[in-house]
Amino acid sequence: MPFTVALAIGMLTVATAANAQTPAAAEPDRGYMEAVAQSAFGNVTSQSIGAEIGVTVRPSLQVFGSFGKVRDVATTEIGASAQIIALDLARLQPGAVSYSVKEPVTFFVGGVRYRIPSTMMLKPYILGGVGVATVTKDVKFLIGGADTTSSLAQYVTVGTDISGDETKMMFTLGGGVVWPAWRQIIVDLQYQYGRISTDTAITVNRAGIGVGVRF
Amino acid sequence: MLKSGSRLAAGFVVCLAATACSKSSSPAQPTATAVATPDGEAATSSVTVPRPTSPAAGAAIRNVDQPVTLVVGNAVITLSATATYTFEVSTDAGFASKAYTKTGVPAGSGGQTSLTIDKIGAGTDYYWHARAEGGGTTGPFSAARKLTIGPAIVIDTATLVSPISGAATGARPTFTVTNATRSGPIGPLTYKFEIATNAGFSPALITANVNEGTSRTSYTPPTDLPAETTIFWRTTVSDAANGVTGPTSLSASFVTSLAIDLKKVVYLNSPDVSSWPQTATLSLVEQDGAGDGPVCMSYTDPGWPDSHWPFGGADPDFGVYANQWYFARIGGTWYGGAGEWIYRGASSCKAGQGTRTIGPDAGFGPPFSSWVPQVGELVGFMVSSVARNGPVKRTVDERSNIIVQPWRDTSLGSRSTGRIQ
Repeated sequence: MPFTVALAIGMLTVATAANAQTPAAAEPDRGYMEAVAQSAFGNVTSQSIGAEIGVTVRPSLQVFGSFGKVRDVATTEIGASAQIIALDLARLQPGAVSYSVKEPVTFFVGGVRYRIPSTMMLKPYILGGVGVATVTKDVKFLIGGADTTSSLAQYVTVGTDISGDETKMMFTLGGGVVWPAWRQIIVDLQYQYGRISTDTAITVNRAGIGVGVRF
Repeated sequence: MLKSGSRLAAGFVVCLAATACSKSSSPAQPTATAVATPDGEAATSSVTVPRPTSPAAGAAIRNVDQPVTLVVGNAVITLSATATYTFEVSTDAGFASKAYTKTGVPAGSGGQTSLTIDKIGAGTDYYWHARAEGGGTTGPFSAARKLTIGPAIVIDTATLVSPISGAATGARPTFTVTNATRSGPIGPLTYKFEIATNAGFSPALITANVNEGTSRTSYTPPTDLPAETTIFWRTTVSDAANGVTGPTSLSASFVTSLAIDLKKVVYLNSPDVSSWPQTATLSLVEQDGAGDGPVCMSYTDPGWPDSHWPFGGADPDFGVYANQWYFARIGGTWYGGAGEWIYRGASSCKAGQGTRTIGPDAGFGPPFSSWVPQVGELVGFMVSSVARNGPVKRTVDERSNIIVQPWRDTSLGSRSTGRIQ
């Protein structure tokens, strides 16, 4: 959390400084739409992809909506539970047991994006949003290398600690800079801190790049 | 992504309308019966199957060994939840006909949980399994294990036949019972005879186990019981192979009034024979104090050696091997001594032991020499290897049992047995 807040403040500071050095009027636009690819890190490191669309409601303020998917945010708790079960499976039957744990997240967030006035080519902004995220507990058990997750009823009844999904509130804070690369094409370098209020709260940081168009 | 998006959109609406969002369980196992905790929020545990440990699969358990204790290796449960166990016993592998069910059995320590179940019917095959519950989840049942309870075996009390209560016996009476009735696939039966001088059988004088006889089972003590003492006895029948023991019989008591304590006898012209081993069995004494007073003794000859007869005769190798013994109770004290000589080839009947001659005949001296037995008076008889004091040398120092019986004299009214020749 401290790191992500510091990063956001830092980006805002850079943008503000640029604005102070070369004041210029912002080019009028009606909004933007972009695809986003990010590195996600928190409990584990993975990837995130998504899309975002924003509508300009005031020269420095845009309302945006974004959705996407983070491949894995697995917590230590789900890993521990899966390991406990795997160890007992190894005692219950003769085959070699392995397991895999993932917690992919699908999210939708809406919020506001404040564009910091700047005459520089890089247009800084900060944002905040709230939405929902569905966290899916994807635990697989392999016996002798074969996925036997669906046929383990004789050995284990899985609880919601390692199965099912949760849809919970998610909020996000972040910032970035937009570079109008060519005509209507924009490149958006961004960072977002997110927190999902699941039973075991999940923090996911996303830093990456978006490519889209403004209109 | 589109599917996820639509679900998210719906979720977003839900989340905006409620303080908490949703949780769904789509466990991979079709039999999952996860139960949400009361607040509907906390994750439920995952529960593995317990491992049946004991009895072994297909175990055959004797009915007498009930109740049976079922043991499982503990299941694993996640989220540090506490497990309880359910055990089921059924007469069919599908558990449609349960003979016993117990839920809420707390997890045992040491990685195992055990449950001693109530007694279940004998002579039946059963199946049992167990499962764990905890953390909002009920785990799967273990695979059914078969166990067989053996048939019921019942042993009744043996009936005491003899000595009956109130009987008068010698020092080594034979204890006899009518064999116990029984049911079921019984094994070889053993009869435990307990003999004591107290009704509580603590301590017992003798405890002996005897294999069952045909219709009746008997036991004869190898040592003398205390003379002139009230003796209690009882029996318990058991089937050791099946571990079944019947009820102990009621006790009976009798008096060894026909026994003589050789340690208390005053020996006349004879050695103390109380420590002589009993190697011959005196089975019958017939006497008649009338006439020439024959005393006939029937006994097993143990092969006692001859002792040279030093008083001359036609045969220089003549020898004797035994003496008859007579015991008289005079003034409350038993007096006894070796009387007539016995040699091989001769009759076991010895004359000269009439009512008025038995006292002076043996040369025992007073008070025996003036003793005149009364008809019906208890008199003791015995045989031994050469024992009488004098020039005839003793040999192996062995003896028979003693028979104590009433004095007879047909001249004084006793009925003739007709057997003395």
